[in-house]
Amino acid sequence: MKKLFPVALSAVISISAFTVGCNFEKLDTSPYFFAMASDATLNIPPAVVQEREKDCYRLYGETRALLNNIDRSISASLSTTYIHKFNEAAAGSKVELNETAYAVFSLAKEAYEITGGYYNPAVYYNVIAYGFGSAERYPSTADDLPTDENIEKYNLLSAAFKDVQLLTENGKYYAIKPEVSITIEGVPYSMKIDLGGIGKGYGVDEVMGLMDKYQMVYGNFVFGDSSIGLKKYNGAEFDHYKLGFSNPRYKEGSSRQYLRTNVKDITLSTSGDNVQYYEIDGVRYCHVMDPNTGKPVQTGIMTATVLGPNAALNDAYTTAIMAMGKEKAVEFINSKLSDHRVVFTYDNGGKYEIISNIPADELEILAEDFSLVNTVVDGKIVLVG
Amino acid sequence: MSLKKVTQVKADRGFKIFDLIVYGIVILAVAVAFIVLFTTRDDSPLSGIRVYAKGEAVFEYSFKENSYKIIGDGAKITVDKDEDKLTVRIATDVGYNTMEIFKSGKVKVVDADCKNKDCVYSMEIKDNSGIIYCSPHGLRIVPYEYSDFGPDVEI
Repeated sequence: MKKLFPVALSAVISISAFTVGCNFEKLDTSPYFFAMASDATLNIPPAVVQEREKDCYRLYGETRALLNNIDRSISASLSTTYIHKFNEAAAGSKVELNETAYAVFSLAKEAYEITGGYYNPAVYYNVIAYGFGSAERYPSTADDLPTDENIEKYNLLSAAFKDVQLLTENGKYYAIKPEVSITIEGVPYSMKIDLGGIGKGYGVDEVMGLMDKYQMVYGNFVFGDSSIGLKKYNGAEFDHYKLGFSNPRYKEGSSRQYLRTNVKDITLSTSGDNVQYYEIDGVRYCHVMDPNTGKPVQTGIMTATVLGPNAALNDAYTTAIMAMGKEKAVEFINSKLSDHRVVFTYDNGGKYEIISNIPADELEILAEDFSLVNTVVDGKIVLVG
Repeated sequence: MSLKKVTQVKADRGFKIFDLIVYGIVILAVAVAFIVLFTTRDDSPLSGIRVYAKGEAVFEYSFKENSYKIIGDGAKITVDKDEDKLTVRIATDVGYNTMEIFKSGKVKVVDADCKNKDCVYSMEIKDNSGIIYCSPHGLRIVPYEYSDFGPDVEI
């Protein structure tokens, strides 16, 4: 009995130490992330973080793992990703993908079909030729711009995106590159794609799923400059976010935002000609390519924002709208996106126009040089004037 | 063991005084450690900045203590000190940023190898309301007490 007590006490202390030690699991406390060469932030209200600390830190950890997986699957800049392998493969090759790369690639194909080809991730060489993406610098004079001859050759590759085949076999995923190649100065080129934009949207959709898993009713996830997922805002008087739209033609003295509207429980993506761009001889060249010309869009559309249930497709739609031009964009929105909320801006010879299928009483215009130029009838945009 | 010894063991009390002292010290030590750990832990924010690179915390500086800490190995960090400031260069596989931390209480990015150098042109951090970030490098300089969770979201 005398000998039993020290043994029992040691056992109790050991078990207690083990239990307490288990409670100190290594939790991820950073709400900041970096994937697809972009910064991302998961914003959970401080009061919720304080109340549900472990859940929040576990959510951060799963978000980091998810974004790392997306990065490793589809980033065009990392040499080990499946999309990089697709890009490096010869024309006609059958390339194995993982489930994530297959899912995003499938979304890209779907968006290509829905937009009639105005969204096309195979404008890879066009983007670099104009100094964007992985290019080191922007062209500085007209002589530095790519030749029409080269652009037309690159267009042959991008036009073949419709012929990419995606398939599954024995539980594995594959993409088959079209049998199209070009030669420039003796160097052969096969199709390359960049799923960066749609990939960020996919990331937003997946993180929204994680927030649901952890029953996070409040908060938002911001991925890069272009994709956001919003739950509710935990305000005392209201539960929506006030979404401000950056002025694409901001200059000192003008308003930093041109528009504001209330949103919650939605994802959104945006494209614009005002972040990655340069000007040569008075012409603005931005990173959004018109798949029909193979050149930066010159449609007059400055920005496009789509709010809807799927951030990945939203991103593709914004790119497509910028390439469509004003009238075609209105037709596309009315026919395909009537269940989404869309805002785009148009430069009408220095007069900045807002076109949107959001009712006017839900919009607050903040910049004097912007005006709404449509009404909404039965959810459809009707241009006025 | 002899009968005499058995009788003696049976007659002995369960614990000698020295045994009780040792057990008491162990229990007391466990209790004190428990109390110190769970009740005196100071989790109030410090007055300083934390730097994240590609989403991971890599560097901290405390203005109160005038000291810095390099965290983990997520970035290659070099620190040069002079009388008034620290010059900190933070490099990852996607590029570098150089910031100056003035002991008087402000932080500024002075150099970077990203294309647009938006971080270099950003306003310096002088209070808990500002942050600096370099999107291409995933670099974020955040005051300890910074919180911008509000209803405003910008796209």
